[in-house]
Amino acid sequence: MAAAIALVVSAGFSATAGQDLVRRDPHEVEAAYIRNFARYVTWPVGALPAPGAPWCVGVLGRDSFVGVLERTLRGRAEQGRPFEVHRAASLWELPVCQIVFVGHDDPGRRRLALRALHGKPVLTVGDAPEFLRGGGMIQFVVGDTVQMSINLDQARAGSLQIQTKMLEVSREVLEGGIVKVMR
Amino acid sequence: MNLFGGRTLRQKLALVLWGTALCAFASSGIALAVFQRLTLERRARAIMEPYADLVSVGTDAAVAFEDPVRAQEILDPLRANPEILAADIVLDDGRVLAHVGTRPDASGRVSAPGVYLGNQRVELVRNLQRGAMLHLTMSVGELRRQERQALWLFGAAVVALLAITLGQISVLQRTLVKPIAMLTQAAELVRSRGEYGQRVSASGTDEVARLGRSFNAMMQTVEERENDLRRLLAEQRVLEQALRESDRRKSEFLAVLSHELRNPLASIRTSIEVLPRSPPGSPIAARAWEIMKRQAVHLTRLVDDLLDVMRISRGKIELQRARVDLRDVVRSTCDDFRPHFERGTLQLRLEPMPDPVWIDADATRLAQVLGNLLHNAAKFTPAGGIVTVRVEASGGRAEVSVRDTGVGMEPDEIKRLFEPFAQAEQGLARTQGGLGLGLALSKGLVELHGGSIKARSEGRGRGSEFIVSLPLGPGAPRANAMRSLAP
Repeated sequence: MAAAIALVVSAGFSATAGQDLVRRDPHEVEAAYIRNFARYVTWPVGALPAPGAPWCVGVLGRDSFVGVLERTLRGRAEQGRPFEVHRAASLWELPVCQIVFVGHDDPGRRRLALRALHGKPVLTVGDAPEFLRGGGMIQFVVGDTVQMSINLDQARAGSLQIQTKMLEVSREVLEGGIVKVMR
Repeated sequence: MNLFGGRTLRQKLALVLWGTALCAFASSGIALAVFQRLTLERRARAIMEPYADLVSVGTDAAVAFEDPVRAQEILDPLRANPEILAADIVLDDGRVLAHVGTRPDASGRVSAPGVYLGNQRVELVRNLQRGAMLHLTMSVGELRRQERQALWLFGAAVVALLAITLGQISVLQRTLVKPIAMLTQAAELVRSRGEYGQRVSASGTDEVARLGRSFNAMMQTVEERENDLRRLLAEQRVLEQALRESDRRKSEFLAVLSHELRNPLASIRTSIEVLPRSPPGSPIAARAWEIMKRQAVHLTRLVDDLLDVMRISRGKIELQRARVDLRDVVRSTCDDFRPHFERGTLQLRLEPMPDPVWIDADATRLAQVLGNLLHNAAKFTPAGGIVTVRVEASGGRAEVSVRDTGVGMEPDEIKRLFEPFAQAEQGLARTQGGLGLGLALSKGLVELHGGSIKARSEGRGRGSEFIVSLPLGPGAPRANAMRSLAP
């Protein structure tokens, strides 16, 4: 009985805490997440620029952040590297980046870009509903809060290691072709 | 103020020890309180830091990705610890990502990391990543419990110290105070009552024991001297008494002696005055001559006795010892005295003596002794009485007994019978005359022979018996032994 009450109280608190968080702009949250990726994802040594050189964050196609990304990343550093944001309509116009937000609304273009990045040490991030199925690595799921799902198979194909801590806070993890619902 | 004035040794020792213990209690109590206060924050940290570390590591990604669910999952187990009142994870913009326990009061919340001590709670604030903060609130119960534990330990130490102090006092009481108190009491008894027999028990090797032994040794010396002094005083008193007694007896003896010398002299003077006026050969003249002769003999005997007594007392008599048969000595002496007895109508009986009784003796002196005894028996036995003489030999000793049916003696008279001048002391009660030297002289002579003399009487009017005991000599007679007895 006491345990049940504790559970209800706990759930209530969690809900209220959650409601607190939705008041923020989801794009701000996503921008902060992108910054976190630089911390919780490990790139192979050859895929990183020279020490002290900035992280390259590329945005392909539609830029739904509208400056939020720059604002969030400005003046910040992760592992001794600042951030640099590059925008392009197609993949060919982007320099070699570690993180690429694939914002193409057209599934065909999106798939093309993902296929081009497949097997490369580039963390692909998107918010399209079928982003993971299309070969993306991290998909933002925006509901009451901003959550994320991770395609571990794709990350491994690109020689990227994603820390377990990050998996713990994810919604779904795709591993070995099987989707595991974390919460 | 003199704290120690007018107190006993025991009280002083107790005062010092209890004072020391009290100081130890107070100083350690204060030290404990200060220590508790100083270590409060450290102790709070020691309890809370591990939880903070756990939450910090566990919520790392949850904070980074603002995942309240995961953050809550990490915080929830803290509910199991009743000491943790609340835990909150607050993001950099003030939003609460997750919390357990009482709803945090955002207004009073501190934002700098550190430990904040309150009366009821302790709050630890820790920086998480991305400007987020962990607020961990603990009740002071655990800290208070630690303090109570320390207090109990302190209390136990106080009790132990108390017991140790009591033990110390008891040990000092036994080894120091009690011996000194006993010594003091003994010394006071010696001073106030002169009880020199006081001793204290002094076992051990410490100074107190040595003091006790010295005291005992001193008391031993003092007691011995005191006893010596008492004995000397007593001896002195006895000696004085004896001297006085002797002096008195000599004075009396002199009086008696003068009297005894004067009586015969008076008779002789009367005879000398009568003689010229009486025709020679007349009965009166013959009687005068007879009186003069008898009194001269009496005087001679008196002076001879006196000389003998003096000689014996100075050890100047030498015995002419020879082997003699005691029967011969007794028989001849009795023969000599028989006329004396018959004059007084007394009966002298000599009991039969079948075997010779050989002794080594001066026959003349033995005859003198026996004569004295017979003389006394005749003197103190009224007319018609019987005097019996008996000789016996048994157990290596020869005995001569002279028993009469005379006036007899009381026991206390017998005791002093053989002292010189004994008869003289009877003073005016004397009726028989004489100086009383005979028995003293007899005793001296018998003792010179290695023998003894004793008297027996069943009381006044019931006769007396005198027994001379002498050691027996070798059995065989010698040819010239009898010759010395020849008249």
